[in-house]
Amino acid sequence: VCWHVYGLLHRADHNYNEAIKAYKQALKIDKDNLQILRDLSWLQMQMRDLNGFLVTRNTLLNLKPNLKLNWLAFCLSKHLTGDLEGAVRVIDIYLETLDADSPEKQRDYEPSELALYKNHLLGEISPHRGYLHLMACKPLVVDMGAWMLQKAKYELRMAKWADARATYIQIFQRGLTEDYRVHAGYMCSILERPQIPKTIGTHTLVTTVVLDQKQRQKIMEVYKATLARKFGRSKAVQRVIMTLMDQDELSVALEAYCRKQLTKGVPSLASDLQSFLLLESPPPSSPNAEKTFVLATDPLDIKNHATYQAMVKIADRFITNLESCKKYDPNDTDEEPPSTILWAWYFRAGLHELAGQYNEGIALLEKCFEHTPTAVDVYELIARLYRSAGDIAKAVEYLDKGRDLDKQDRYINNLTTKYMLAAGQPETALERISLFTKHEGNPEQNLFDMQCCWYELDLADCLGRKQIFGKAIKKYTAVVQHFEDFQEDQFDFHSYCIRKVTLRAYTDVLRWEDDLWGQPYYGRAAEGLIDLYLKLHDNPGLLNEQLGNGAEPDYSNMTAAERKKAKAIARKKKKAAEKKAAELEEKQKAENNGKALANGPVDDDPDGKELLKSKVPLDEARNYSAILSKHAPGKVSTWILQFDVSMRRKKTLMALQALFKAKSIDAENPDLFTRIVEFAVTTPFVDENEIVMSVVKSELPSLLNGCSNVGDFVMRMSETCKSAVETLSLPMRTAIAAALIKTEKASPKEASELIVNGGLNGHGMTVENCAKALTVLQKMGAETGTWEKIVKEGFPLSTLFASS
Amino acid sequence: LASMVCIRMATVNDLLMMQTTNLWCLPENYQMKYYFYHLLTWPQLLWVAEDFDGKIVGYVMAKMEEDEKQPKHGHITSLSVLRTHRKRGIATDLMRRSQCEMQHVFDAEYVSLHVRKSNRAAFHLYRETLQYDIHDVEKGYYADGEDAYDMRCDFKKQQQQQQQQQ
Repeated sequence: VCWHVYGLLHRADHNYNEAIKAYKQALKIDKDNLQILRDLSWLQMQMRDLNGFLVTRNTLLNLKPNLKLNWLAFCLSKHLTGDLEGAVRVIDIYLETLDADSPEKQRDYEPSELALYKNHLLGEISPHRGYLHLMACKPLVVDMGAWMLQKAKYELRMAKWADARATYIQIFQRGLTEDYRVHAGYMCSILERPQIPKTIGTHTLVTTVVLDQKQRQKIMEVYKATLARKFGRSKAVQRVIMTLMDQDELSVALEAYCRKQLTKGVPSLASDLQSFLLLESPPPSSPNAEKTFVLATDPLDIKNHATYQAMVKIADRFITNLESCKKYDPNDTDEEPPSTILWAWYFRAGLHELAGQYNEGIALLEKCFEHTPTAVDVYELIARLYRSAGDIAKAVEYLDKGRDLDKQDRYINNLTTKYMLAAGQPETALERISLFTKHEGNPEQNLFDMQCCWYELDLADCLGRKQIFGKAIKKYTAVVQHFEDFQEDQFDFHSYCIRKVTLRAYTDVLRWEDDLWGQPYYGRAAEGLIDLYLKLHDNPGLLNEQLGNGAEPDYSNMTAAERKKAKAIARKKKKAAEKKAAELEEKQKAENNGKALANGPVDDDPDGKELLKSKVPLDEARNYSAILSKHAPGKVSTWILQFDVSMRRKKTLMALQALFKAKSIDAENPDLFTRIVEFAVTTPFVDENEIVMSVVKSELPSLLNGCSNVGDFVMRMSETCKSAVETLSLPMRTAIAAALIKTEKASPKEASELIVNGGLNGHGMTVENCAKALTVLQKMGAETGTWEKIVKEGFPLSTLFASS
Repeated sequence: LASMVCIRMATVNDLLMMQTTNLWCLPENYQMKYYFYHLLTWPQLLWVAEDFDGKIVGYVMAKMEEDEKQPKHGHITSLSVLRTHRKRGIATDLMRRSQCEMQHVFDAEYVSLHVRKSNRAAFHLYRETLQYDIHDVEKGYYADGEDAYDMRCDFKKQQQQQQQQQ
């Protein structure tokens, strides 16, 4: 009993490993205690001790074989330890223990879930067995949607093309015409491909893989002959057909489509149509891999895209006609309602945005305001354009006005908050978002309770930019805490889901939880924390400032006596500051205790000072970097940060490995280039052991693209840059210019030419990147007037660049 | 009228984005555990609208009510579509999918929901487009004190009406 209670206490404190130990001790004394065994099993699942879970559930099943839950839990334990055949056998044996008229064998939700779960296991073993079982269990199944989708998948894997096609038609008939993944599957059945590619959103096979003309035609014929007839009103069918058209046919279809949308007044038309702007991505590394598409996002690529140019033509013609005769085309019979021209201007402004033409877009939106001053959507778009054009303050002004027009709308409130944070106005941002938080208590606490990650991340970013480290770290850490809660959340569901038999959804959740730390929100928090902790590590005086101690005096140039005196003074100062802070805290606590009853929990450390005090910056950075390396290895930023952390920890080989990992993901990345140069310049001069240095010596040339020294590497990049300055990205030009200075291969004047001579041509022309380039020019001591003039001409609305 | 969003059943990978969409649309918010609870109890009733870039722009989260005294019925816990994606019929599509699964997977006879008295757009969607009836008025249902319409859609009645229309 003592061990059991000890285990329960640990469990309540979420010390799961300790709880497991305690329970195991208890079982040594009372090995068949059902309660302890059950509790232990859920703990083992939570900690993913799957072998332990298997043993415990086996014991429980032997002790109580009349309990359905014990059978299913044991089956699960077999499944998760990789014994699929064993898991299937457990289900079969369990069902054999039941009579034919048992409710488990009738058509109902739980038997259906169990059958489909068993089928999932069989399908993993072999599609043939899965298929046979699927057909046999049909009478039991209530989730026919899942049943049919699984059937189609088996048919594809087994090359039953005609059957697959028929199954997909049935799936469409059930109502799944708007599920584009079903369309992807259907296309595979038409082209006789056994594997459906992973797609997102409205992408299908056609827009993911680059098919040849014959293949596209084949799909088009089937869609036009079969689907367009049967499912004429399906929006997705129409859209898929559009993705199969050649440029001329598509232009005609786009015009008809735009007419409908503009008359109806659909705000998202421009972003909609962006999905048609696909580019063939660079040829894959392996010769047998298929070419794929990628979405065009850079204004340079969009401007050059034939479909984009067609859209612009359509929009311009509509505007001309609507302005002159209120019709899309003079030959139209009816006039358009007055709102149509508004949406046409709005649409054209959206197209300008895609091409980076912010001034032109803003001019059109001014017309929209004159027409309809209350159109909230216009405020949103004009704010976005001002932000991209470099005037965030003006963007905030517009958004707040728009928000004022629709105080019931949380979206526009949130967007205003978001922009205020981006503009460095966290106090007003909090005021805005508080309009929608629960009325009792502290709004930030409410947002924390509701796990409002987007706000906490944007706030943390904002505070980080303002160098308010304590609170910024606290907000990033809040997001980390939410994720820890997400991991904790699954605990109750281990027993719950087995009781409910929703085993497919449950095993999906387990898998998701295993990679929780690879989620984007967590990634942003972790990356933000690493960034701030490294800054604090690099600048220890900063930490003291943040803690309110004032900057530490520089002891290095003092005599021993002077040092002793200075330290005594510093100690005295610190004590006085601490006393003052403690007095303030007491006062706050007294106030808060009064409020606490009404407002719920009060934050003891709102500015994150205690948090800062308790952390060693480089250790924290390392911890988060390790998590990202494990769970987000596909992101180049993970390895850039891992490099930064490893260099400071003097782990040369880890830093080297990080560079190679980054290169395998994105070899052309400017941040990577900068760090390769940094590594090559710094490392040979660091005191390292021989083995490490020999590895560095042998591996470095491949990072330097075959060059024997970093100087040549940078020079070669510089030559490439000069000859391709029109298409190279601005960040890359900036990185190469900085590298030329770092390797002393060029004078500031020569290096600056790389940035300036390219002007605003090429990829990555954003105000932010232009500002970064300016900073680099300033750092190298080059003349900045020319660059500032160029940027000001290209981005006249930008507040960052002074008029010449 | 092409809508250009993917309407599909929700998976665990969507839950975080659904929570974000909810926080951007409605003042009634939930912790992640509540989303897990729905997904792990009635997985077939959660549907999302996914935009071309993978963003979740709308969702419906529904459940089956466990009330022995009433015939089997579903309940819409939460429905929202981002403001930027209005006028595309997304909410209608999401509701239709969830309601279909309620009937065919869970044998629901009707579905109920609450809507703010002042929310004319939502009321129009439920009353006119989806053919819900007002069942009752719940005074002070919402946290800010506003009244709610308790609305219901009877599936048998809806089927009869559809057949008559055809």
